[in-house]
Amino acid sequence: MNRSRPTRPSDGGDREFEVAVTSDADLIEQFFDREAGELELGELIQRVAKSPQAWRRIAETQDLVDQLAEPVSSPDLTESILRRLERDPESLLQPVSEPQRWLRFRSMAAASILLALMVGIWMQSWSPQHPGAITSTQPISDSIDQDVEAIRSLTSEIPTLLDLLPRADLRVAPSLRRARPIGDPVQLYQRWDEPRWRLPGIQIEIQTLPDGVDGLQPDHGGDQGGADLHLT
Amino acid sequence: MYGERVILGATARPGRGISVSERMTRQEEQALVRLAASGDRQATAKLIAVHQASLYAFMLRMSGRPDVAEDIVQDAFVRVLKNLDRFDPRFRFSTWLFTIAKRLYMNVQQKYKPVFDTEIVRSWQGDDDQPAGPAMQQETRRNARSAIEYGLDELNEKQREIVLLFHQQQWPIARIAEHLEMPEGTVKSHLHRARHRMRRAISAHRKHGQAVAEVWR
Repeated sequence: MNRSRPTRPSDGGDREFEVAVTSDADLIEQFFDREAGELELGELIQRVAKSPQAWRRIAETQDLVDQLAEPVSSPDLTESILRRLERDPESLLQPVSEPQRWLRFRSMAAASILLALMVGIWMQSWSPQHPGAITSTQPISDSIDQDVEAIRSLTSEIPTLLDLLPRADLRVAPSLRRARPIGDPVQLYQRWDEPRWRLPGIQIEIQTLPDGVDGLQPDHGGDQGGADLHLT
Repeated sequence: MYGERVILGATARPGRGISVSERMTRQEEQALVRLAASGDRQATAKLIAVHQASLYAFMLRMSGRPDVAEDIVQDAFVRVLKNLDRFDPRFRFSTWLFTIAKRLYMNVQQKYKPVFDTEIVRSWQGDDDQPAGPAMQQETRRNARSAIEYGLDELNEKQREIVLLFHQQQWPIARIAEHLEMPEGTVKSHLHRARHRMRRAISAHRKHGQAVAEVWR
């Protein structure tokens, strides 16, 4: 093999760059190591053109490399591997057996009941501050009492609410119509995820029925619309 | 570690060889491993499908025996998939899989010495699946394949492993060096020597084949 000392082609000027001593064989190996750069490739082509021996070596190696990379028929082992995994007690991948399924169902049922009980207890403890369903409401205009006066005096300091209140058909839950001293927290709820207002010293939330999404709507005597005023 | 998109393997089709290459980024691979680790059957099946053909091809060339290759592939997958929670995401899944497979192979190596029998070679290289061509062409292909097996048989274990990881599995030298825990220069030396030995062996095999053909002519 040629072991001459190669030089790089001139770089547009007078200078010539020397590269490390590289034999044909080294260059060929570099090429098959997939590490030959543009320069080495150019060098290799030049040398190969002069050396049939190098040419032959490249052809033989290329043939070898192609044969090695040729695909091999492979059986599909996916199912057998999965079956083996499922049979293995230590495997992460296990089929759910019938007894296990029952156990899981019972555990889930017990957890659901427990959760429901906890929610019930929590709702009960919360109910004094947040009255539940109002079964019977009566327009506030028909039952002017001390509670309403208390509310009006409380809300008169809040311009936004004042704007809303005259348009609203306020109702008071019968169970909440006990007289309340001025200054007690008042809550006006707005249903269906509409914003709530909470102001310092006073708790106010507006609650409307399903078709009263955009603020409070006047009640025209129907079952829906209007606003509910709850006192706590 | 290796940011480029790499070919991880191929979906196996029984009797049809590697036909569909599947590309997967490291992120995709890690997501798949996470799913499989949580017990997802589909993700586990996909991991197997993506890697089994390449591992089988590697083990077949290493052992020279389809039955051994099949057993090792199955055992390696079972072992790896059982311990997915121990998978270190800094490494590629295939690197881990090949490491386990190699250990398993070393255990059975004493029992099954690589035998590159021409009849076996014919049976596992899917000659029956090839479209019928001129008899001469088929014979040439068979000869070329048996020459490669002959060449591989001439290599020691380390050289064979490096040659296969580099030329069959297309792993970069840096990854092989990391996998085998040896310097890159050593990997290259093994690779160069292996190619040299294979070239020599194949050349001798061809001359022998030609001589036999002359006798029978």
